[in-house]
Amino acid sequence: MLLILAYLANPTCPPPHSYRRSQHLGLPGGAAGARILSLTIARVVLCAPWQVNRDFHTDPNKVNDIIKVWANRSRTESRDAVQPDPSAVAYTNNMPNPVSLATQGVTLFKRHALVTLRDPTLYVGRMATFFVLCIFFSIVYVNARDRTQDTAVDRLWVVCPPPTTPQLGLNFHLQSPLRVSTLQICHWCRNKAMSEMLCCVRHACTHAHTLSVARSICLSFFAARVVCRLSSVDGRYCRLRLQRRVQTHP
Amino acid sequence: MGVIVVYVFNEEYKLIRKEKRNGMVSAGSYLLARTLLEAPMIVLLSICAVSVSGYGVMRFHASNFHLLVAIHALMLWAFESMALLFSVLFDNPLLGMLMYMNFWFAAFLFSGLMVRESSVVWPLRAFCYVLPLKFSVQGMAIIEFDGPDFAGAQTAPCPASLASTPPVGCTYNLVGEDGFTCPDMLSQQGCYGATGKQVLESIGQQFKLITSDPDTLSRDFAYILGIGAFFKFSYILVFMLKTMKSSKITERPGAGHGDAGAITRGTRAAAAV
Repeated sequence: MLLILAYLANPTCPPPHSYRRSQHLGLPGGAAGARILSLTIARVVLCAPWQVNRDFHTDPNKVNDIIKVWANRSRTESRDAVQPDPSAVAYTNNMPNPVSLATQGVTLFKRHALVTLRDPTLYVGRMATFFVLCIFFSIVYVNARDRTQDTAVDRLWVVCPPPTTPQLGLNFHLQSPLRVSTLQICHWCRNKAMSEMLCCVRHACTHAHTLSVARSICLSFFAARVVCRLSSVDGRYCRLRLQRRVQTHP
Repeated sequence: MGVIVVYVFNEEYKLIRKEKRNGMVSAGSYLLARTLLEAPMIVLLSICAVSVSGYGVMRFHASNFHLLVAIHALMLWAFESMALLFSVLFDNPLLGMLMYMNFWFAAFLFSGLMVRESSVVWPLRAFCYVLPLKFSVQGMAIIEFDGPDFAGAQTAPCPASLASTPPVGCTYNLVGEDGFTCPDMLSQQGCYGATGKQVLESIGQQFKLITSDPDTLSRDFAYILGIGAFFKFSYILVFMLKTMKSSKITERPGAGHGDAGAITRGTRAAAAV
């Protein structure tokens, strides 16, 4: 109401904007509302309080009195309300100023370390990806793990490019089958390229007793081995799936 | 994987630029914190990459584990620094990612595995010296092949003393050292050598990049470190310059002092003039 009064007292000033904002915020009411109100009133007072809208048949002095009272009250309240906490003042005074580069660096280091742990995109996710993809490449080259004349060149290729290019290989081989259904995985298993990889996995699992580390890898590839076994029994699993599908959707 | 770095650091750069302008952090402290955090993470990354796959499955030479991790970590750091540079060089992360992929492919192409260095014409040959993959491959091959002997070849029938008049079937590819022969092979075509050095020299006849010279290893470390440092310092420079850059407040010609409309950003004012 006071806003409207103030606006009517001087429509050339810009209270409608503040009024709309207070409406948007659900104000007046509360400290923010009082602040917007006082700002609006102050703006009106500063402009030309003696100009009164002709459509508003009220004594301009009464309007000005009300506005002045509100303005004074607001100013007094705000002055009383903003009393700094002595402990906060003491804390602020005791703070080293300016904060050194090292102190900032340590604080940022802690925060970035926390972010790095919580957000796996940058490092943790890459670690997992490197781990899995490099194991994949090593399994592809598993027959070259013995140092013989036949495997000399293969060892060069497994030493050099795979650790540096873990992002290249797996897209074509694993990601697309992961999206397809179990029925399609059966066909995928019988694909020549994939059967080679799975045979490498099978080879690693068969000789697991010689390498303790290979046992842990076998656990990682347990799912792949299961699929390989299912497909190796002459597609029996696939036929079962097909039969079920035919029964379900004749 | 470095493409992820370009995207993440591009987003982070924009945030830090805003924070710096708000007076919350300084660019130096951010770079210090990031560099401190980067080092252990890169080492962990390379341990994840080579430990189980290389030493668990492929039976790499275990006593050289620390060297392989070191050179691999350096290579990752060099590529990471490259990614950092591209993350701040372009405001659009897509451009940075594309640029990084270009450089990665160039590193692969000019690593010496596909095209030998002497066959590359200038000025493209410069890529052979300024990208880290060539030196990484060279170093990793030396580290890994310096291990137990390769089965199927023997050095005893080919002593170094007979190098001037080599016995039938013996190959001498290292000056002053024993030769080798593969008694079970009818042809010596696929006989690479008994020791790691001999094998590297034999492979090096096909791929000129590969060498058994131990001095090359320290040179490789130095080159990768230098390349990584170059990209890192370039990143720091670009980061500092771009975070310090701000619009210049100028007064519009002809406008009075105190006029709010007279104050405008420098670039716009210049365009208006």
